[in-house]
Amino acid sequence: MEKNHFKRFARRYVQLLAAVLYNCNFKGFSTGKIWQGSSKGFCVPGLNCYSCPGAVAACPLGSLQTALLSSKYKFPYYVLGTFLLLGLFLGRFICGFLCPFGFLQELLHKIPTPKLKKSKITRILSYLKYGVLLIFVIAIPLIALAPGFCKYLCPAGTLEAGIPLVLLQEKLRALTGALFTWKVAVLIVILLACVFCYRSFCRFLCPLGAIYSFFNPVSFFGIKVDQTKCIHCDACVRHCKMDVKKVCDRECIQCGECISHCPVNAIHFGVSSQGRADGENTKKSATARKKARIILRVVLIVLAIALLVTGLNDNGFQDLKNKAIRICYECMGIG
Amino acid sequence: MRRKGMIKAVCVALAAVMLAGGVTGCAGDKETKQTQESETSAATKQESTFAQEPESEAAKESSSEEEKKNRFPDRANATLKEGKVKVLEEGDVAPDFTATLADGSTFTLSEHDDDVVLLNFFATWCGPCMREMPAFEMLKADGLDGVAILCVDCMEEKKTVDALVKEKGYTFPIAYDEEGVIEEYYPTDGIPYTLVINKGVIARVYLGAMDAETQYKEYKGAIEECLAK
Repeated sequence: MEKNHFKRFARRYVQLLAAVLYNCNFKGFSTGKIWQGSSKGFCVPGLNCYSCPGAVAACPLGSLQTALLSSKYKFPYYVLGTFLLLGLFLGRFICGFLCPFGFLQELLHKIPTPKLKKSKITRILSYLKYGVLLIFVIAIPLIALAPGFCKYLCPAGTLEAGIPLVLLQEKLRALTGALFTWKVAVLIVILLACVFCYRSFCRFLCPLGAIYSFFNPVSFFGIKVDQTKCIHCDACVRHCKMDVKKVCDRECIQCGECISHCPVNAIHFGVSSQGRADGENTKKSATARKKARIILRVVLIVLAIALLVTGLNDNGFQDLKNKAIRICYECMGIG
Repeated sequence: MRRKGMIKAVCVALAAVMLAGGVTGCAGDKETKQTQESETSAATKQESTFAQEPESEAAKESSSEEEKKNRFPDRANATLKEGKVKVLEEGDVAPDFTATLADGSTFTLSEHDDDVVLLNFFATWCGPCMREMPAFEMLKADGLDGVAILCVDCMEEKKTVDALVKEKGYTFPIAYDEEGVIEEYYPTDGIPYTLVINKGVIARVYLGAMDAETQYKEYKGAIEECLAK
């Protein structure tokens, strides 16, 4: 009984643990003061606003935007290195296990209502997040000097930082205006959408998921498909609630829900030394692709280490900490 | 079986990280407290230096220094009450400090006790800070008598501040604060954080900022109000 319970809810526990770990400054929720310790110099893997009173580390997406904002004065080696390392080792496994906002969306989807099933339309909509990444995370910070995603869209920022801090700090209430109202409206729409449509924010809008999706074919840890066992019945794809075309593609959040649906036990979690996007038709092409993936991984590892070392030598850790210990008014819809 | 084992491993790893995080977090807290304490003691030291300097000069120079000192009896303790950093409010005495500017000169707040001082805290990564910056240039161009402007960069390296000044060509005083010593006296949860100081006393406090034009009007209005008093 206990074993079955653990087997069934293991991912939930990991998600809960991650959410608690990211936000373990419990005192902040009563005082309305954000954490200012050294741990704010680290990025957590999932989407978690660093202006949240409970947050003990930085949000990778917020860090990337502020780093891009001042990139002409200082190149963001440290933040880019962190992204590369997280993507390379975990990929979208982070979405499935280590993202508090993903966890919240899954809980909301448990509310018994009619559900919108995946279709060609949702598959097309899943490309939207790449547009959000390009416009709100890259273009707006570089051109308009504003963390576009945090300022106009991020529901996690409104939920974790905007609403609690505005409730807890009277002086911030006076600063709220149309932008705050807009952000609360965006949050409500996204949360409502999640009740009817599984992880709708992750699937259609999340730029962090879009970044990690580029790493899915080369990430070390995650879901693996044993091609010698696979009978290509597509049971895994049919049962998956995400817009996947095959296991481990860019939309796969590595949640492992497909494992129990595989009739031949061909899917499992694992560490791969050769990449995990399988399905090659011939032995020759399979070998060539594996070789290419190994080379790509080596290049990416070297690049990640080089970026991190350069970033650390360039005061990157301290810079990130200095940003993350301050309330981001824009994340909250203020300013 | 393999999945269960892997998930168990992830759980254990996360628990270990959480424990480590908690320990690091506590250590971080201690470290912050220690840093604050050391900075506080450094600040007290700095304050006492500032407090002593006018005294020693007063003995040599005119009695105007003595008068000035009497006008701000609480200045030495303005921020540091019972070892804690005080969040400043309108009506509080502005804590004194000396800053090194990007052009190599220095700025001491107490030297502007007869002026209206516009004190701003910013960083290059802060969007609203960067957007309101031209407002300070416009205010400087206005050349109002008895008005001083100072923008303090929050804990960024000198080279970053220099790159900003070079790129934008700002001519108003911009100060370095790499170690956050000045910010320690003017604690704030977020930036931009701007204070209008009238004759050593905080007259207005601004959190956040709109565009440069709006901020220019806002700050100019507050400055003119102070000058009229």
